[in-house]
Amino acid sequence: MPRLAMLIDMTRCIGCDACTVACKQENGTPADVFFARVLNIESGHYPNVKRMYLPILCNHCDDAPCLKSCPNKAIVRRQDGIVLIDQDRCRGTGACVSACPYGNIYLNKKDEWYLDQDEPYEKDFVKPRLEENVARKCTYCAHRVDEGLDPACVVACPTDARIFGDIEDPESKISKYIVEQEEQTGREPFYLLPEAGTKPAGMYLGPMARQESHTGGNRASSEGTEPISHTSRLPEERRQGQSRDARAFLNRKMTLLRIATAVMALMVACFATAQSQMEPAALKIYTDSACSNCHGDHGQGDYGPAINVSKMSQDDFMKIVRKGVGDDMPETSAEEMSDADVIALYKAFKGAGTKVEKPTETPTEKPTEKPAEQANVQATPMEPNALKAYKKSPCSGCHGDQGQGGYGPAIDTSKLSEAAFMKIVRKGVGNMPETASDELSDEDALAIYQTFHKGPLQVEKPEPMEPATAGDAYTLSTCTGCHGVTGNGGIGPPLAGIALTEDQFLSTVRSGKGMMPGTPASVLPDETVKQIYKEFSAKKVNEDEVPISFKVGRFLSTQNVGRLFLFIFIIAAIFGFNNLFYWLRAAGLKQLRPYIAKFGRVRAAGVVVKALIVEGLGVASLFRKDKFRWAMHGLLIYGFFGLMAADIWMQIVNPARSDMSMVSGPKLLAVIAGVSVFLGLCYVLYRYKKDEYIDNGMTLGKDFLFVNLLFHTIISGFLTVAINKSGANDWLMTVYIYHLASISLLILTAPFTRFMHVWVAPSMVAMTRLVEEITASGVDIGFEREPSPGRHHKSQRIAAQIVSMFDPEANDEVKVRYYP
Amino acid sequence: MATRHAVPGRHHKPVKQANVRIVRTTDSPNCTGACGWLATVVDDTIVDLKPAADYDCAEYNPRGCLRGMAMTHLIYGPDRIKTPLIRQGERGENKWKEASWDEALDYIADKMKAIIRDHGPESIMLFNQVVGTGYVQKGAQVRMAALLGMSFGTAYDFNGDISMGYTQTVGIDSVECETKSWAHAKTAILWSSNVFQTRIPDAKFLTQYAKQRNNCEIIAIDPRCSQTAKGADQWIPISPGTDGLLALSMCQVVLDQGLVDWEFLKSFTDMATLVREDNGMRLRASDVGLGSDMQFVVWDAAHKRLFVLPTDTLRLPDDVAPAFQGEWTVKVGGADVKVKPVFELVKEEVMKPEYSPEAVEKVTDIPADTIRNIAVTYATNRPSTIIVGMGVNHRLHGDLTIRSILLLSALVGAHGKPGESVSIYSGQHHFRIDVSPWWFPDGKRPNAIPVHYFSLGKPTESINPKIKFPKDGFKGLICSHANPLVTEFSGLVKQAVDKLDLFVTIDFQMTPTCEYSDVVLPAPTFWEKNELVATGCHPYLQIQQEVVPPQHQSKTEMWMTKEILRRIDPSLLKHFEMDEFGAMRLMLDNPDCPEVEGITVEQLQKGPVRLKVHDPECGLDAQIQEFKPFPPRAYPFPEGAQREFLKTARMEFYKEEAIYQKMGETVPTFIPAFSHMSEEERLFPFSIVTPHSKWRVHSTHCNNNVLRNLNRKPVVEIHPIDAAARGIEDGDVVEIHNNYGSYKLWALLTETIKPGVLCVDHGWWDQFLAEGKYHSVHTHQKIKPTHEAYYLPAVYAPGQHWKDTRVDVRKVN
Repeated sequence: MPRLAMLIDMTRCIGCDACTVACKQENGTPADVFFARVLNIESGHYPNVKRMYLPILCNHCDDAPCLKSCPNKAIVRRQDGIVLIDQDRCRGTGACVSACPYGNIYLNKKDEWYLDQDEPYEKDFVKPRLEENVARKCTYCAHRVDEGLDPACVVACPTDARIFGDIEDPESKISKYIVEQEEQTGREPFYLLPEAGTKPAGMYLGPMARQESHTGGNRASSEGTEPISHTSRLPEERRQGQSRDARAFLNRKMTLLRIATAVMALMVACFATAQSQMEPAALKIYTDSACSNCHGDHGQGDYGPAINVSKMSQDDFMKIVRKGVGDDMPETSAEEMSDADVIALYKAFKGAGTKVEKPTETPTEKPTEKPAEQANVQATPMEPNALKAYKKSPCSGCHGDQGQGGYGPAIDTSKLSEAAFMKIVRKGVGNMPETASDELSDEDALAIYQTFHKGPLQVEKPEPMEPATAGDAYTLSTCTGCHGVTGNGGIGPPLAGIALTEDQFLSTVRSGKGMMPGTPASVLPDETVKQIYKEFSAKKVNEDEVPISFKVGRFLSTQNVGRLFLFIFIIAAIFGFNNLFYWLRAAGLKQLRPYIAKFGRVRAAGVVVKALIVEGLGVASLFRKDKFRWAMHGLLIYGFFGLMAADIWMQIVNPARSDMSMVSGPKLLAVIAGVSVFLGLCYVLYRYKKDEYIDNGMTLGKDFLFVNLLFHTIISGFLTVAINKSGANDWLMTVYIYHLASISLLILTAPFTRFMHVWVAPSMVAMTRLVEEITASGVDIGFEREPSPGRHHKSQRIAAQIVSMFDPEANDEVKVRYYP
Repeated sequence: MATRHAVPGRHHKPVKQANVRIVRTTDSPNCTGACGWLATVVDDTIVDLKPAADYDCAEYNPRGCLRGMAMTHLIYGPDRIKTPLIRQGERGENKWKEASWDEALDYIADKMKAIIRDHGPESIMLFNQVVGTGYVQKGAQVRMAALLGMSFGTAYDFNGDISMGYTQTVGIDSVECETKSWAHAKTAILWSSNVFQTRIPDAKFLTQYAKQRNNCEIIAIDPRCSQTAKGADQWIPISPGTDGLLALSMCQVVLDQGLVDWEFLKSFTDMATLVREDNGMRLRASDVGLGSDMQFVVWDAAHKRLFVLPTDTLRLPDDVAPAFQGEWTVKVGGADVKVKPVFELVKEEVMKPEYSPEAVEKVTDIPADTIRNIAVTYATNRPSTIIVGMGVNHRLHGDLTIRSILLLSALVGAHGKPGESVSIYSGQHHFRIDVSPWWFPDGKRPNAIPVHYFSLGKPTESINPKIKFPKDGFKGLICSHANPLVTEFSGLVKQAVDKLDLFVTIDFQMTPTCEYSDVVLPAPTFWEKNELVATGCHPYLQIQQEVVPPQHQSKTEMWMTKEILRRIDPSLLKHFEMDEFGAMRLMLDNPDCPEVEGITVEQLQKGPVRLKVHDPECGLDAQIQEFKPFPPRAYPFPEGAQREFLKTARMEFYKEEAIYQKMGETVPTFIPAFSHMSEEERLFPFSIVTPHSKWRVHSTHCNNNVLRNLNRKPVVEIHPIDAAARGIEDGDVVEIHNNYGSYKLWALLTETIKPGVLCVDHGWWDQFLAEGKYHSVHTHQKIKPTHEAYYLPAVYAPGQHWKDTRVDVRKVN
């Protein structure tokens, strides 16, 4: 693929500005707009001064900040690398003006021209080509390039200092020149502001002239005047440059931020690696296997639960692997994973333990707590036939091969009637699926009933429930479906050791909470509920029986979710601020600081706040140019604000996040805001369908990610509400977690997706306004003299780089001068 | 070639594409670059200019610069004069009557007829600036002046660009290499020359060729770290006005270290000719009975006898060994006369202790070691070239500086070969071809007179008798292609203009000079008329085409002169029966001019045609390579016109004339730059330099809005030390003043200028200053008597000395 690039040889350039004028003529630019310009740099002190000329033009960056910052996607990158601003699509927002670290984008509210109104030269041939209040910049003369011609500045350069062509083609003029110059003069091309990370297509070769200076140290001979000492210099403070302290301060701050980011990253990394205590070989088997797709890279759990084999025999493990469990975990054939590998994994996980849930526990510390092993030793043998039937049945997949419990609870039929048992088997309970008679014959089922009538074959017997009637009431209630047969939890939390008061318990049962449905008194009389409460509030929870899912679920308490989001917000904020600092650096904030000080910090803050409100919140540029687009954009932006407001409101009136009526204030606001965002999003999707800039050459993936995440978030949000209302509780948790996960991802990825335009565009526009105000106020002679106002500080940054490269002794004694 | 089909980004409103023409032409402003252009014309509007880049010699492509490209903004600019204007009210009041051409021409013709009747035609002066920029249109004006017997004010001397040191040494006012010659140099000394601004299309021969290919050592000698110093390996910040001292010190180093090229001195210089001790004159062959008084003798050391130098060639017989050192006694008219070769006299001067590097360091502020180094580099790292800028020449004693520089180059023999020369690119004063057949009908010449005398208002006591000052003084001035009221001596010119009965200005835009005129005639720009153009910078003859018709009511200069002649004396119209191309044919069909042999108008209409000259053409290459006697012919004067002031036909480092002897300037010497000034003048602490600006060609483009967008205000460059002493901060309004006047502009504090020096770039129109008249600070006008010893218009004539000005600067509150 071709990549057009321009090389400027500083040895050849004589700073004549022919390019500047040729460009003006070719592109018909108005006054103060210079797509091509030449920096006139001087450094050092007399007599050790150096002068350098540096032509500047759009670098058509591979990683163009202007393109990324444009909220309207009006900037595109062509296949050949040329970055263009679509003049029709640009809304004159001004974000790109600040985003370009080189200061190569021009936006004039009102164009000034050079000639009288009635001169056809300007009226008919120049003015019609560009519109005011639209961002404009060098196009590498795309219209000429398309006709096989070189850009105007290249053609007009009287010293051949500009070499243009396809850098990917080794036979092109530019490629050959680079090779030839490296051989002949030892010069290698360099880029401007490499720290900006823009990957520019503009390259430079350095000056060859030594520019030594020789003086005897006298003052200019003016007859009658005394020579002055060579060492007579200027006051120290003038040479020092006043920004040094400020710079050090900013550097320190940036360093702190970097350290903080690094520590965070390190913590995340440690957290991830702490779980991997497997041997590398086993780990490899695991990561290669399909298991890791769901259970996480280290078995720590991801889509599926964390792998915990502490309560499983090797056979159980094998069976689960081969047959699958539940709806989600599929069977795995021997072809996909050999027995030997499965055994190896079993051993590995046995050794590794389950650091996710109990990081401090290791299997060797608590060998006695392994029910499966103890069962093998201590269990009274089952009737061989029944055991055989049980082991063959799907039941053992969850309940353990000895019925001692595994993924599902231990089997204890002692408190069940035969009929109740059969009902549970055939119809399923909670997570437990129904089992048809062809999977398990009535005979076998009954045999199993008998076998487990004396309780499960486990060492740690649950403490007996009393009174038996209460146990029956509980077991027969729908509660077991979620809370587990032993009340140690299933899909729902364990009831044992419940911390609620009796009244709270009752009210929760009646009205439900979260995904738990309300149960009317007709189904479960108050008496029974109270009995159940009495029983479980006095009982101690058996941690080993609490299912993993609930251990995760318990983690998802309102507080924990809050904490989690806080954490996510902090992480996102770190990246986001880092990201924002990148843009502020690109906008030249550091170089602008001395001028802000002169301008007045309070005054500057006023300008910024006003811009943030008018241009950021109000999206004034869009409002000016296209009211409909503004309204559509408003659906999204104000919808978002509505969602945030609803959340804050909720936090104030209902911090526990218990169920509220749909017509309550926060809920209503959230729904309206959500609908607004949804509609806005639909418009975005509709636009994307027919948008020729869907691929602008750089941000497609990021845009796609953002839009999809947003879409998923909104949809899953609405689904959560809908499911909650419809009572399809089986899906509630899943969808809700999905919603939370989407939000988390949306926030975490925000600094890397198009979401970032939320803070990049307003901050860049605010910078643009600030620079405009500073320029207009004439606080500095540089801004006042500059032919293209508003980029003096960026020019200084470029000049500083050039001087540090070619006149390192001059330190920060750099001046960008404009004339003569 | 221009393409105007699209706007950046997306096609917005397509530009109309009907009636598109692309025309190849040449521009001819007074930068004298003569660059070829392709103009894109739509509906008779020039919409785009791009370098034509069609020269056979690829190194010359492309030629052009920002000023050329910005020309559309002058062609269509707001200051264009639309109709003839006749003054109402006082001069300079800027009240005008828009007149018809008939009215204006009748007015002028009536006034001219009255002056001719009452005071004679020589009382009317034509001044059309540097004539080499346009052979046809300017030639028509000169042709009219010749036919009427008017005075013709020569500009080259008025501009101060005439390098009298060159004339005195080489017999011609200056010599330039085709710029391609620089490409061969391994040492290049830019002696106050700012080629990166003043020779933009040619600068690549220094950067891209000399520097990149030869790793040429480029040395910039300049009190100011100019744009060109940026491309130099060494910047030598010299004290203003001490360049001659530096040159002589370098000569001493060359002599000291035995780096002299004796072969060069033997053939091409007068160094071996003998000078009589009794009267300081050169020993003639006639003195010793060996030949005529235009033949000179040397001491042949091989045969221990006098040898008469040949006059038809510079080549000496192989067995002749001219002696450069020694003293002999010869019999002249029976008397014993001691004679010495010129070299002895030169050596005596150069070896004086005040020219030792250590002594010179104190005055020039250049370390002695540096002086030695650059002298040795120049002498040994060959080929080496010197490009002289006008900073050294625009001084009363600039001639001595140039003579010293030429002495340095002659001692090491750096002349006449690719990359070896001393070039002065100051104005297109040289004609590349003989324009006489068009300019001087039937051999009639106008009364050429240095403009110096016009502005002085009277002849000097020592004026050369060949100069005919009008008996009643000047009564009329026709000023064309010129803006003399925007120069350093505008005050004096204005005083002279105030005494005139008629002041006509011909221009395409309303300059300060136009504003002060009686009648203003609108002329076309060089994009609206036909012209024949050549330059000293490259060897191509080119035609300037009428790309668009003359704008508004403007008419070509040739049409104007015809119409004036018709009103004064219709019988003279027979000399104007041809059009512009007819005039070109007159100059091309000239057997007396070998450079144009075989070149036709038809060829030129197709594109640039190379003159019949060496490749590359180096200054003095015919002399050095072919041993042709000095000096080169100065067109439009006949061969031999310069013989009287270069009698030896060699580079002369000894001037024998009585006035030189009286002034003590027989051999190159140093006289402090400001020593001729009064004590009062000398007390002003700053030396002021006035370089050309890259934003203008002299004062042209000063009002070009595009270029003013880049260069908004006139500034004075001042060193922060000097500024601090006067409480001046960057951007302040300051007043530059001396005892002649003052003007106000803005301060630019910069480390790139030597303390004690101020710099204001030249050519600002007064209206752009903060206040006052541009360059009303000056020295009084002086003419150096040695410059009046002979007279050949614009070749041997007195020049101006703008840079001998001292000023002070103060902050304006």
